[in-house]
Amino acid sequence: MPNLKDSFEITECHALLQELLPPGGLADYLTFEVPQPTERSTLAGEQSLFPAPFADPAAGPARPTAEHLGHQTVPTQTAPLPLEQGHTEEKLENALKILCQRGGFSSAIIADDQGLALADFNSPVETDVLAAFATVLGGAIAQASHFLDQHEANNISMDINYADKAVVRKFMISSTPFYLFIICPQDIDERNEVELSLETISRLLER
Amino acid sequence: MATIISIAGHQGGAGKSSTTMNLGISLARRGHRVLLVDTDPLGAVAAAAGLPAGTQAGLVQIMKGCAPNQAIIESSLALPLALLGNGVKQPTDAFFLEQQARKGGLLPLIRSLAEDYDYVLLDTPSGIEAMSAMAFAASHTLLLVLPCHANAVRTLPGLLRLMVRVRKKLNPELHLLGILASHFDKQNPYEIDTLAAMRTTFTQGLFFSTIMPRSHQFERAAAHASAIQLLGQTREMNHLYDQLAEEVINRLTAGQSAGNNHAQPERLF
Repeated sequence: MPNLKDSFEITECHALLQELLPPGGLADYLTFEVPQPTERSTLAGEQSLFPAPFADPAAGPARPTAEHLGHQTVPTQTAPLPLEQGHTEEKLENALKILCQRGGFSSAIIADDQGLALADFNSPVETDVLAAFATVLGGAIAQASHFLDQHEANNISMDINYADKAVVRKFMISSTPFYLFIICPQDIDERNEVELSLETISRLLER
Repeated sequence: MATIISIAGHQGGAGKSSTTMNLGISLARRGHRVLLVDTDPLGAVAAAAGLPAGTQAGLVQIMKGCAPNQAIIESSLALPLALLGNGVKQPTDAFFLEQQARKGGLLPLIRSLAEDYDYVLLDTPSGIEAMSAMAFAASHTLLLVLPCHANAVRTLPGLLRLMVRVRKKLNPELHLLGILASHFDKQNPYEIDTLAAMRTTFTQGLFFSTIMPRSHQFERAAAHASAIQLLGQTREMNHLYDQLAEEVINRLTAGQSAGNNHAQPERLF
């Protein structure tokens, strides 16, 4: 059976979904921005909605959020970020900006195998320094296959202070390694957002 | 008249009822008048609201003429939110509803109920059946709840074919509002692959930016027969449902303005 991406089912889904689009299409939604929710109403935390009484729910442990810990994250902006306009560098920077906004990261940079920066967003130090550092850490990933016999290692995470961590994700384009370096709060699981953004970044770099 | 949204999905446990309830709460917290209608014979929304399934009057009783519409709609104590159960107490009630759905009897009822609300959310049954078709026929738009499992994608065409058929035969204005990725486990590389495959294959913009993660809070809410937003310590989930509500409103608004731009001049003859 072919993998999902090449399967006829997903192709058929795509065709059927096309038939269900609104008359004007989805063009307006392509750069859809999610505004921050407005202030919530004053409904008390554990109030019943309907006359039938609810059992008193036990409070479980709450996972602290970046907001709780006072981390500095990039605020969501209101203007759309065009990914299809400008030069590749500009597009990459927009992709990094979106990555930081969605993931709650504070900085992101893409470096090549030579330690040169291809794009950056909100770098806390000189971009070239960070790019070189990303490549050094990327080299450490490569050593994992040598010392640990793990050939699929592709990211490294390092706590850089009490609250933040630096993460380097290695990705390949036509057998050439590139490195995505981000700085984010330690309590955030960044992997999902990084994986999803890598699709866009890889597509832009492949062009 | 309200915007009627079918919360649809083809697999049980995908999160349709949780989405219906919690999206309804988030919309109501913004001051919108919201009616939740349990078209699923299993009555998951009523159960999530703490109303025991099978003990409340609902669609069945209205259709049988046993009760007036407004008398059996449960109104929330604190929000502009109301719930109409299915009223299914016996298996024969479910057959009766199914029959009514086939005859088209439920369609005018849903539309007439919508008069008094801003949003009507229909929690639809899983699978392909007459009640789902009836809900789609009565709706303006569809919100598809889809877990990020390869098997869910492989079996999705069946439901989409039903939606397309309803649009062609019964309800030309029906369209897809968006797809909500639900119960997403970001630690699971297969689910990441599945979501990535869908996002790269499907038209860009179809997925809501909000992704509902797999969370033990859903089970906790079910254990307490409550909505997740009414439990303590669920700030992250509350935020996600608020974000989803904002997206739904924005998409509907954008759709309306796009519709106006493309509107053809009315013909006199």
